[in-house]
Amino acid sequence: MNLLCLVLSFWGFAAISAGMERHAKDIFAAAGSLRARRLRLLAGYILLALALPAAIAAHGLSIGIAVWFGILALASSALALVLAYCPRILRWALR
Amino acid sequence: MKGQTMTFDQPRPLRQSMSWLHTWSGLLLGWLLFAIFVTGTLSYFRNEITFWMQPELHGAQPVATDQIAFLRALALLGRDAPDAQQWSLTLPTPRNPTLGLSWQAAENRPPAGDVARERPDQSGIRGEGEEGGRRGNRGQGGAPSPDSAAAERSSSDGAIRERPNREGMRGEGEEGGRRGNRGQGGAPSPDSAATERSSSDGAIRERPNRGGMRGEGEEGGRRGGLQREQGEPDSLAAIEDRPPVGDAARERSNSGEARGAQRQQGQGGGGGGHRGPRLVLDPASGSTLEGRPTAGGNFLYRFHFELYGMDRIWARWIVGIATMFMFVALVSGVIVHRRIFKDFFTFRPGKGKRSWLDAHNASSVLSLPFHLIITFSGLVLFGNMLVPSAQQSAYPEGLDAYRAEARRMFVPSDIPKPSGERAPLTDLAALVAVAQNTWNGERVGSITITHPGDRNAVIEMRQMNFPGLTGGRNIPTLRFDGVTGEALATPPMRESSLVQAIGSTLNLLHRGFFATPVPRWLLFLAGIGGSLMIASGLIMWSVSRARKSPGPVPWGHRLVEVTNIAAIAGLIVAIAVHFWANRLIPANLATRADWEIYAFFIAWAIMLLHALLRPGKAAWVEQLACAGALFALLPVVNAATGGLALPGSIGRGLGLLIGFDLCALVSGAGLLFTAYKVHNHVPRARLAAEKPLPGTEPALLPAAMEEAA
Repeated sequence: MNLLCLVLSFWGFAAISAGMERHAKDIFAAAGSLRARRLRLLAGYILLALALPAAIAAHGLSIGIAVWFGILALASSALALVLAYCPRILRWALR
Repeated sequence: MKGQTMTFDQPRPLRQSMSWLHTWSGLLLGWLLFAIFVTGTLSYFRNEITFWMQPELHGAQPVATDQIAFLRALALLGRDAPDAQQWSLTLPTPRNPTLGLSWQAAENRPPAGDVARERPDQSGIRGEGEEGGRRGNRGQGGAPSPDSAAAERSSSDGAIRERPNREGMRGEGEEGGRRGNRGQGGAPSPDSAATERSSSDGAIRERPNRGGMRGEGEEGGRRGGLQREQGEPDSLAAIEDRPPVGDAARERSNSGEARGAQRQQGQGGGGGGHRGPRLVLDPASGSTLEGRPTAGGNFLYRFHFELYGMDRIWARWIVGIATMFMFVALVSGVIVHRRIFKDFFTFRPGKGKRSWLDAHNASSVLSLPFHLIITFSGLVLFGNMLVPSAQQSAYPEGLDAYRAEARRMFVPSDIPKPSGERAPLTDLAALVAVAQNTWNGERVGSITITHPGDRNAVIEMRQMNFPGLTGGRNIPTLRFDGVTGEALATPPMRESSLVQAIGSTLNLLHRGFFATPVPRWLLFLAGIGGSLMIASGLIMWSVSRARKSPGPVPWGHRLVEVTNIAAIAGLIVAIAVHFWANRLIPANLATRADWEIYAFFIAWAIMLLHALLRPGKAAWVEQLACAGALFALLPVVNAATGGLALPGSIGRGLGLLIGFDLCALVSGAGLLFTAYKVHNHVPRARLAAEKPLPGTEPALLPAAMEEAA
């Protein structure tokens, strides 16, 4: 469940970054349409939201929420490094 | 960054003001904050660190609860403490594979008039050794001068809770030490007392401690033990800074114990070399293990909020003020950050100052919830000390009223008196199984047996992990008849007010009592993020100024550069040296725990000197390389000096040792790599070419920090 939460949040943040013009260019070479980016943003937020129940399932409500924040921090930091050094590897995960 | 151009005689935009505030509030206490953050982050693993630092314990064989040598443990207790009022067992946990035994001597005090007697007595004692005159005064009065919190406390609550112990201890002739312990455990100061615990509970418990605050110490193991021995699971013992969990109790106990020993030697805490009733067993065989005295992870833990070698209250004030600066820097930082969402994931390596700013932003923003909570809860922990007016305005009648009310929240133990008839104890292992079934597999963390050997013996089992953040310090507890093994009514829970609930939730979050491995690692990583944030901010101050100044380096810049090197790289070296010292100082040297600490400070001072004497870049490279080598070799030192080597710990599944050694290896490699990159780095700025730059290698330094933390 912890791992699922991490995967969901990483994927969610990746989708959100792909919805941002600057990162979308890095990932896909082209930013794509505004509509496509909006969709990615939306999908990203949904994935982040889905990560919360995963954390709660693993740790109970109160601790789960705290863990969710921790995992979000971890996932976003990891993503920042991926975007800085090898953004292209995210292509396969995000249309 | 606008520091140089900022003037105060004209209006300026909000962001500019905030930027000034952020820069200077961050710089002024940033070095101290970095040390607080790094040592505080390591404190999430202080248990593990202490265990690593006692290689004599590495032989403990981790076993499942049903294979613990309970019979052997009980036999030992029966031999060493047949007449104890209470026995306590801390069961092995993932954070400490040993089985801990401790006991509390029976009350052999005269039945009447003790309260009255106890007070003066106690305070006297306290006054005596500890705080000299001041304390003395307080103490003697036995009471109530308003600010004589300590004495007061001791007389009131102290009397209530501690009495039995004290007496008991006394009986054993180790009062000094004992008392110290308690004290220590506690807390520091009247007000600071509060600090550690949330709200009122804190106050309550701490009282007795005042005395301890002083030198003594650390919360010793003893304390952990004692408290739990008190058999008032839901009482203050349970809410105070020690969670009623196995781990935490041990946290104290191990290091505490050592500390205790150390204290006695080093600081003359009173008791004369007695280590107090606590045994550490290999849970599989039941054989006793003797850990060396060590400062342990507890030194790093204490340092992060009490520094070292100075009055604790002053130290706490300093740390409290630094924490407030941190909070100011966080809030102003968010305001200053223009593109907090646009730049959310942005990190552009290899671009000089730009990269530093990105690294600073990323480490701040991505873990912002952690930074805010840890800083705010840190302030709340110091709340009663920093803002005494809260208590004063709510209780205009004075501290007595506050204490009286707090005392009412304390649930006295409802365990019956001993009958005087002997009866054998029931099978502990079977009860543990029953408890774990009742809790759907949640493990038992600790067991207390009140009136062992008596027909009225009562056994209490406490769960190892906190079930949540919102239940205050209550931890699920089951109670059994010690002779028949029959389940009894669960002990009364402690009610908490909303304020207490918020306070204890923040406390739990800050101190990670609830944390099973995953949350604990997350807290640790977030703490590293915070350390990186501070380090990158400090370095950025230098980097952003280095470019602009073609001439000779202004002394202020050099000052910041030197301090940066010593405070960042130097601290990492000092921590590594602390671990080395643990293994290189002879295990039987009486003052070894003190020397571990002195080694830390001596190394740090040498690093400061080194940073002063060497050009900036060379100093960075040398110190980083030195720290890297020291860390990378730690697993080797561990294996060579009696610790369980990495292959062995992997084979036995001792996660805490694997974690320590691997962290040391990774940190060492990261630091060496960083040193290498800084060494090869050519500053981008032409202007900077003629003078040494502080580590201008953008992406790497933070990585180093990370490793080291």
